[in-house]
Amino acid sequence: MSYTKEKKILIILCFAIFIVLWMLYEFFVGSLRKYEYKTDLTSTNTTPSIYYTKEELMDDLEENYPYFAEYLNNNKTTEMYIIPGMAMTKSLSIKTNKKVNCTSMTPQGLAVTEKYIFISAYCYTHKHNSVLYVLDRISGNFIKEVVLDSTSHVGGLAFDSNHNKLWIAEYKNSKSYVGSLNLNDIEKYDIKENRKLKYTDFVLLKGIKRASFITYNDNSLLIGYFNLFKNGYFKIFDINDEGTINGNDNITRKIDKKIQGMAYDNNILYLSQSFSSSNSKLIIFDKVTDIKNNNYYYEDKAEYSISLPEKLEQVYVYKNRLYMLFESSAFSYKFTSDNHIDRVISFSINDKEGK
Amino acid sequence: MNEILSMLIKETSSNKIIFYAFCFSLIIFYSLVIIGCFKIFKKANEKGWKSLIPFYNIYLLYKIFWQTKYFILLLIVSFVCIFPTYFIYSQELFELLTFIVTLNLLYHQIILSIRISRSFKKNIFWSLGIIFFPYLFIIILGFNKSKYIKFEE
Repeated sequence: MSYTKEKKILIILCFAIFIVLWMLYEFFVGSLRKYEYKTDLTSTNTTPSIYYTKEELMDDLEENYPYFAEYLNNNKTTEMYIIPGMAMTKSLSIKTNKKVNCTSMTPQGLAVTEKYIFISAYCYTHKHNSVLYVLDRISGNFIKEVVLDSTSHVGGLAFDSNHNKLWIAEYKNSKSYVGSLNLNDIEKYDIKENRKLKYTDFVLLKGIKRASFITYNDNSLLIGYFNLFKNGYFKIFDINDEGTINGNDNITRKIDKKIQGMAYDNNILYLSQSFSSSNSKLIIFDKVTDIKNNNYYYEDKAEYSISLPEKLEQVYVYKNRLYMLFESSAFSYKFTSDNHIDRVISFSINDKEGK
Repeated sequence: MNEILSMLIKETSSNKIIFYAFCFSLIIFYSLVIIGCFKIFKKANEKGWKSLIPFYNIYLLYKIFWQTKYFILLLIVSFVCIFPTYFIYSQELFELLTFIVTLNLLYHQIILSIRISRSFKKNIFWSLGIIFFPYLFIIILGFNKSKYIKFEE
């Protein structure tokens, strides 16, 4: 066989194999992610979307993350809150405000208050508005869904207890914003009125390429940028007496790449790192006394780095408890993730137990 | 930090075993290719130890069996494709550029494999073997009795 003929045969053969494999991947993974399946449910589901019982979830965790499962089992303070709406969320049509069913809500942000747990989610197919799920913090029961006046990829959540405002990081038209909602407005909201809840404030953030995550600490908002390939960063915005921010901070504090969430409490900084199907990490910096002026938070400088199941999004600290939200229970990841955590996991992070 | 959380941190290390096993198998496969190249380089009148130097060994493979300008072209295409992803955040762009780089690498792998097997008077099945199982076919090629004859197109 001549060289040219052999070259042709092998090129065609190898490229055919490559293209077929790529097409199979795109067909099974890509198209599933853009697909909104039809459902018979008539309201936002409040039952777990993957595991019927906590025991089933723990069985799977024991298989794949035995040390994490053992930790949760042995820790008497462990609590789990079902993430609602992963099978179906009642939302409103973008154009007509009529009620529609969304089956591709993907959880992103988490905030905890004395009475509530808030979870933000965006529609993976971008056909529906983003929503907030409101849960009772003590019982874990679903209270209601709040349809936001936004179809953007909503990021993290932070609750300002001084002004009773919930802040939401958002990336819209290639710009970073942070929006706020008054707690009163959230409490009054009812989807039956067929209206979307508008932000009270909507502030453009200068110097942040993409507002990916947010946290609240000591009357200021810490807002950061997720970067897949190199280091991300965060900036600190002080909240003024009126309860809003001006959106300027000249200092850029560098953090590791792939940071999806952040919490800062009691001089401890928690960073959640995850992307795609690789294990997540909870990176902990102990004794961070001057977060404003220290501008380097990389894993190699951290006191602890804990490997956790994939797709950890936001972490939140409230009353000495750590809350962790995973996005792996969303329909878009049902067929591509090995582990699905369909509950917010919470446990005490110091010896003072409590709820 | 409480005691329970410290316990979790210690236990996390067990998860690293899988990662180390993966790295170990990669080292084994890479070593097999290097050993095969060591012998092949000797057959082609190059010094065997040169196969131990990363990147330079690939350069030499191109020099012996193809042309070095194609190696430089491969580097340029890969660099040009990967470079923008460092500055622009876009999952779609990253996937597209990765796709282009992979196709380019595959094309180079095919041609180089054919030229290696041709240089030792081997048939198309050897070319296929070198493409898909280099750690096996390169080492066989290095240790068997086949002789290197410079392949001219």
